[in-house]
Amino acid sequence: MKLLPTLAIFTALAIGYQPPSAHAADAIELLNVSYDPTREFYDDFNKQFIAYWKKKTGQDVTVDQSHDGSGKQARAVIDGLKADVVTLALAYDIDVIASKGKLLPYDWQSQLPNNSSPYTSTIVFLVHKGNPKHIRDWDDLIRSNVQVITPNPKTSGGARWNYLAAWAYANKKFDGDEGKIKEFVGKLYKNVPVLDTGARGATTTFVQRNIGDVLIGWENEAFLAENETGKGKFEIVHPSISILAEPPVAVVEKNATRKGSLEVAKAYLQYLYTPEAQELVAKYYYRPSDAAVAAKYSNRFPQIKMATIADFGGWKEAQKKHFDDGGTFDQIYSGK
Amino acid sequence: MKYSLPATAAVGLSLLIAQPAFADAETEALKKEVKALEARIAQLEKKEAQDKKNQQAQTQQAPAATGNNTGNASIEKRLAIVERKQEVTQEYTNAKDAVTPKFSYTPARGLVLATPDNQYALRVSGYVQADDRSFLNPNNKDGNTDTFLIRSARPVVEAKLTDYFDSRFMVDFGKGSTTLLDAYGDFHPMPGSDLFSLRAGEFKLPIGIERWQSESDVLFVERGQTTNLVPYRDTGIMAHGQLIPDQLEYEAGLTNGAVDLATPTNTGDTDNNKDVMGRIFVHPLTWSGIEALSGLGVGIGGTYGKHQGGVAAGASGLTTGYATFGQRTFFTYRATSFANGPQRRINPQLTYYYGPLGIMGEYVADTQEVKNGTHDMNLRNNAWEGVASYVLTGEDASFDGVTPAHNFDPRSNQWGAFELVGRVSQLDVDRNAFGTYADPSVSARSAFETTLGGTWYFSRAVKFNLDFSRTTFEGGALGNYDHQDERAVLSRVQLRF
Repeated sequence: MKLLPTLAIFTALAIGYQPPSAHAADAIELLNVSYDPTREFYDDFNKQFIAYWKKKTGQDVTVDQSHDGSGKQARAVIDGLKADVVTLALAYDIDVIASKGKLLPYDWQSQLPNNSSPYTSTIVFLVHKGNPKHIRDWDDLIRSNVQVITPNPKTSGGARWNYLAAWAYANKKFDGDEGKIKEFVGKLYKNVPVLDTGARGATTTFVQRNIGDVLIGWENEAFLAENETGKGKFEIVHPSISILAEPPVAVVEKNATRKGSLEVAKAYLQYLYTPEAQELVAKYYYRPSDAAVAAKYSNRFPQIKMATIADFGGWKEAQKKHFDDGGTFDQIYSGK
Repeated sequence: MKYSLPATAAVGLSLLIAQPAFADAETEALKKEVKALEARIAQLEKKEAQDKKNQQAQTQQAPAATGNNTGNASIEKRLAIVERKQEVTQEYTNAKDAVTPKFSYTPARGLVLATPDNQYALRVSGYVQADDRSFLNPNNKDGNTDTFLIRSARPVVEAKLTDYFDSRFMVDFGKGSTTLLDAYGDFHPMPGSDLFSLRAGEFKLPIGIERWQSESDVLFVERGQTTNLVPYRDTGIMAHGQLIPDQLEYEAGLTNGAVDLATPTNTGDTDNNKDVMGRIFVHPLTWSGIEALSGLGVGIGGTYGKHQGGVAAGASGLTTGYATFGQRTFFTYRATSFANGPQRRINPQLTYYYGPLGIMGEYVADTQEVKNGTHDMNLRNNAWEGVASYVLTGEDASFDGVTPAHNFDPRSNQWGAFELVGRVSQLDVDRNAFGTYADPSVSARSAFETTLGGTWYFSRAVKFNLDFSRTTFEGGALGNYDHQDERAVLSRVQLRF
């Protein structure tokens, strides 16, 4: 039997073979890999952006969302999840994508305004209506009759903000005495009956399962619980000191370039800074980065003293000192 | 997914040795706490019921005790915490499982190491066959030697490389030699569907139903006469799949063209011609819903290709010889004969399984153009065989071997599974071969074999075969006499891992 005709048959089969997913040339599909609490915000934002982009360019865009713990999402992207953009809880998680996954440049944070944080938030307390345990500040969280709900900072980006906010308070109270700071934070975590894996899980524990006297968490999540999911059952307490949480966003350039979505992905994130998007940011209880929009909603967001991640030497230092194996969290929690 | 298999193997082994995870100890503690709380609740409910009874018996209403209500509320809260802790512990376990490589071992599948998402997996298995061959010819064993031998020692490594690709590698160290038997990759363009796959490399061909059966599942220590006329392994490409799942399978390919029974040498083809081969095999009555009929399978396969042997080719292009059950060569072509044209094989096949009963049959017609000097002729050799088996202990017979219902364990009065097997097979060489192409004083015209035997399956991993076989010949001795019968007792211990 001659070889060439046979090879021709197999070549024709190979050319005819279509991979399972083939997309129309001019429609773009974006994957936004985000952290836990942003579901509702991005549901609305995506609709707005799709309409905006269609009007501006005539191009159809669909946006798929993926939500989970921030650190877990970063690992998923490194392991192959084809995110076009990441909108995570802390810059450290995107730094890891840059350094280990080599999927975006090291200077990603300088590519968008406000350190690539189109919105900020802070850490507050959510208590039951009427504040039956009279919780006013961090000192109340170490009382023996108070149960605190906060997630595990080893698995949750939001929980790391919580931990650092508590540390910031103790640092001021004890004037930098690390032994006393650890003791304070340790007492707080001794009052945690359930250490959830993520911020959304902690909210479930407190709001739905009615466990605990106070939930430490994102301000935007607390507003959602107070005004919507648990309307009439909870109230927010702003502590005297908290931390400026700056959830950053970035284009995963390597993925977006490969998928041909780079232009749209960049536009998607830039749209977060527009006045319309900033209004949506405020609607979902994030603090807008746009000064004019922030001023409009200043009554909603009280001014409180906030530490920043820079006070901890940046995320790299904070991760190494507090959350890596053997860090301060392991030291205080293993003693539970 | 970026996983390094060596690193994953190291992690998998360390997990095997590692202490139970935090979640297991935590779960046990939680379970104890729940049990204690349940006992406490039962106590309080009993007391509450007694209190109510006492209140009803009294003429004056006593003030309701609040202590129990407060205690109950506190217990409810503690229960809620315990339940939530269990849920969170499960979340941690699920998260850990999502990144922990999977590691397992069973005799049926061997050692398997897989990534958490099952996209990559490495499977290591294999088997060893230790045989004894004893010949009962009282005066002259006729070249047969009573011997123990390691018939096969085959490690098998298989890898899954995403849902689209897998590969297999098998080497045989038996009989004092090292032979590469399987080295191929499969491409599955439609994961989840068995409709079409493409194989490339060196692999077994589905020509010869007894040959197609895995070495570790064959019913007898050695295969029958039909296997003499079919290829052993070949190198090429083959499309395969199931046109109707579990009912109609097919294979079709292009290979170098292997001679009858030849052990692969992997030195490449000796000529520019290639063989086409194909087979379809159907289970025509599975639709009937009648169990007694659904075990029937029939098929037909064949090969066609031009073989050119000779001095220039460096090989005759013909079989090196047909073998008896005891593995003595009873037919060879003359050294000066060589393949000089097309070889065609046609091979109808049949299997039937119903409960402990198994039946297998086939026929092979093998036509090859052969030349010697100025003589050139198409020679047709035929073979047929019929096999019957019955599992005395009641387990199902199958093409893929018997799995004992109970493994061998005399302490529990369990003895594994026993199967009786019988086979008749015959090979007839074209009469025209003798004289010019084959020497009738050393090559028999025909061999007829009857074999009875039994298999003791200690478990899926260990079995023992014992076969009694008699092969009679036509011709094959000086003066045109019939070669003396071969009477052989072959036994085998097989260990699969």
